[in-house]
Amino acid sequence: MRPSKLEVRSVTKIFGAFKALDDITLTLEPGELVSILGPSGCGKSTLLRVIAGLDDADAGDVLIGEQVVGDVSPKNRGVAFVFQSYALYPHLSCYDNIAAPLVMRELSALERLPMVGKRLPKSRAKHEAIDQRVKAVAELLKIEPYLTRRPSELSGGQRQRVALGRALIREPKLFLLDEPFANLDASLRNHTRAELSTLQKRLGTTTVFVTHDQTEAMALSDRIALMFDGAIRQIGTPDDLYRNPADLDVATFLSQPYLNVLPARIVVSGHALIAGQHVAIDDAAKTGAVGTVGFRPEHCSLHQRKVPGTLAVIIERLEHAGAEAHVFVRLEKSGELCVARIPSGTMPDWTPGSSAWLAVNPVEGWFFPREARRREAVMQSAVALA
Amino acid sequence: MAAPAALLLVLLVLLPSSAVIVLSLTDYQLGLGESRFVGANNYAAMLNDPSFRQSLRNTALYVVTVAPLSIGLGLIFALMVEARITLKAWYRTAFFLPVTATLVAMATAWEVLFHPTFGLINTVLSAIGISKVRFLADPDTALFALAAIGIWKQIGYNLILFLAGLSTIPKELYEAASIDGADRGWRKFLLVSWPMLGPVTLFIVVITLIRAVSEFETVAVLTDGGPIKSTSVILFMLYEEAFRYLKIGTGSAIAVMFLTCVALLTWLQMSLANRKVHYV
Repeated sequence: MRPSKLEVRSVTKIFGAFKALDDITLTLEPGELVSILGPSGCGKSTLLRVIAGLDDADAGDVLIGEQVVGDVSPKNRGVAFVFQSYALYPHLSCYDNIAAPLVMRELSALERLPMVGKRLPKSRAKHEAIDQRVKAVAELLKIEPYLTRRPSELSGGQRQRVALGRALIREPKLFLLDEPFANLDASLRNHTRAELSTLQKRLGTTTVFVTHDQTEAMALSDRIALMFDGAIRQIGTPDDLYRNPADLDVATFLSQPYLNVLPARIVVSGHALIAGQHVAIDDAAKTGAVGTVGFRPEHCSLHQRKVPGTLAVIIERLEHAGAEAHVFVRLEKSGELCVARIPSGTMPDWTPGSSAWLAVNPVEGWFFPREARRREAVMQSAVALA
Repeated sequence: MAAPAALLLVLLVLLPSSAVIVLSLTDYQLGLGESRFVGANNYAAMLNDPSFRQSLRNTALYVVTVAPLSIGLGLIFALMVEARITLKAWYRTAFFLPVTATLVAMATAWEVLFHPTFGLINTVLSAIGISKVRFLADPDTALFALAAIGIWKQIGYNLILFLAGLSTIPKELYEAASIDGADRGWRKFLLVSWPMLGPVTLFIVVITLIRAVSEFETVAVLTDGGPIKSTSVILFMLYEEAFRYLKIGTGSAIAVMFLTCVALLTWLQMSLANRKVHYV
């Protein structure tokens, strides 16, 4: 099947008094893999369910391959859905689980009967065609050895493959994956993630992938749509979101485990006043604006001696993190806590209780104005300058 | 910790059961002082007794009428109640009422319904041109009239159990099925509901069979085993032998046979079906 385009146009979904989806607009080009990323309860699963037709939108349209699917039932939308719990049929063997979508669609009630089904005219050919497709999918996912077993006899990873197999067999227009790796342990998750990515590229199926795990989204996606409170805050490539967050929520969500956040005021374009100290921040454009400066631990450095434009801090404690270490420091003036990342080999240079100076990398630091979103503010000032 | 429970089990179940087995090997009669050991005589007499064979036939007929209908209708009504959005609780209660009602009192109400001259059922029948049926007095219909009451009583019980079973089916399975092409009707039922109801169905079948095999109250209240023994089921015969004719030995032999049959039936079902309905 040719890869299809997916369009979500101004979709709104309301549960009682709660707006689960607030005017969501999203377009996926054919063959694209887009992650819907966000904290739990942000509406990302609801969006996926609306696309699949498991929930109806209260307003707006979903288009799959240029066709409005509002009145189309889930089974006719040409979508395949992988549930977080896998939702395999527990009484069926893996073979029958994978075959289920074909059996339900392509065979009549009589042809589905055990024993009799295969003896009806023409149905033998249908059964054989299904058999071949199940075996092809099983080979693709390397699950041939388990085909006769029931889901309860499989490990989590194997079940996950069977669920993928059931989704793949119909060669859907659209893959919808709802946290498919959430129930796997860490090493298996990385492995399966890589496999899914390869598989998706090979099949070229347009895919929507829901996750709360930013690493997962970064690793897999062509683009990421980051959701908060039922609305998409930012859509972009992983690199775009990582380097150029639209607002503080986005920056915080994509800066695991730490993001340094300090209240600031812009004194003059390119300079922010933080805790009484002028600090160069290229991003700080609009003179007089009040807001927050944010920077990641890897985007600042610690100095033993005072350097102009740095913040005086007291070292509080150090945390070993393998190749690198985190140094927790407190601003001498305002008492705010910051984290800096250093190579773990240099840990002996820093003793808790001693003074140091924290320098923010002016290119990597962001300024988030209190009143507007950073990106809009940046754009506005760019317009103003021109 | 298990000691008190074990003690109760011995006192209330094992000892009386053993006593019944011992009694079945004697010619003990209630009220008479002495009794003799007669070996398997009671069992031999029981098997040769035409009225015992008749009661076996009656019981079998009663069971094959009541069990499939009360289970099948219970399931159908449960699916209908489950599919409703409003008044679910009301329907649940309405169907369950017969289970909570005192059967002896309800039997009287049924007697009125079945009454040849002023009963509602016959009034309806005569209105559509069918001649009156003496339901409880005709040997051809009496057992089926009792079976109708049995079904009415058992449907509610089965319906509640089926509803409980339906409520435990994960919603995601239905959603997966709706994407796989089984979004309604038979397909949905056969792919998700029915297999997932396996364990509860097995339980319902066992319970319903046991209840149908041990039917007694309606017989005792409405027909007294008649007319011409056409409603004498196995437990009613046991009751007559032991408490009307005071032949405790014979009654005990019937009881032992009855218990063995029920135990065997249950064990057979459990061992045959358990592996097929539990998928984990």
